[in-house]
Amino acid sequence: MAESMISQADQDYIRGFFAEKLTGDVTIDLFTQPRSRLLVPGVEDCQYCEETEQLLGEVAALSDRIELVVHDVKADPAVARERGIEQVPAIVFGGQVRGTMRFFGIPAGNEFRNLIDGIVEVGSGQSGLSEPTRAALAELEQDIHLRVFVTPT
Amino acid sequence: MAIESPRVTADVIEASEFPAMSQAYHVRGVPKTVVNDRGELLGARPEASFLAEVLRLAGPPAE
Repeated sequence: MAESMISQADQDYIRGFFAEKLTGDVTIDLFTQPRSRLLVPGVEDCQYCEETEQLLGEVAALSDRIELVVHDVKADPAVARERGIEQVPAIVFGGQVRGTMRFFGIPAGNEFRNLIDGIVEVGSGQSGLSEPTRAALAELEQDIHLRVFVTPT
Repeated sequence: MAIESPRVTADVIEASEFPAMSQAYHVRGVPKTVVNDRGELLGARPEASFLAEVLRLAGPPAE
């Protein structure tokens, strides 16, 4: 069995954090693809798919409120299409989120903290945003698609 | 923001894993926030300022 990606100390911390703060259920849909055994020209391998799946599996194990659903986009391309997923690995958060919240790539480094916080926000429905911001968002007249480019380091 | 509004889709993209996309959006530094594929914000901002910029860049509501 592969070594844990999350240290025992961090697992204990996160387990406690979830126990205290994760007040609702969260479904994480992970869109991934298995590593190719053959080198096929034009078909890109997904460099971090396996690690992302392992990492998310470890996170999901830290709370009964988290369900991880793994979708293999090669085995089932229709489901990826339905959900508008064109890049993998893709993490879609489900729970008390009114809009759509997704993460593309492996949530490592700085982004790992954002993953944990994101899970708690989606589980609790608490965005942590101020009252004026929430009021403005409740009255939005246009659709907003944000693409936030980040780096783990 | 996506927690609060059904009109919001919030994608976080790890730039180094998606070089083609990062190039298409001319990502040279992070964080970079692209709004409705028509405007962008570089760097981080306090919440109120971020929201104001996003709303400004998002453009008018569709008719």
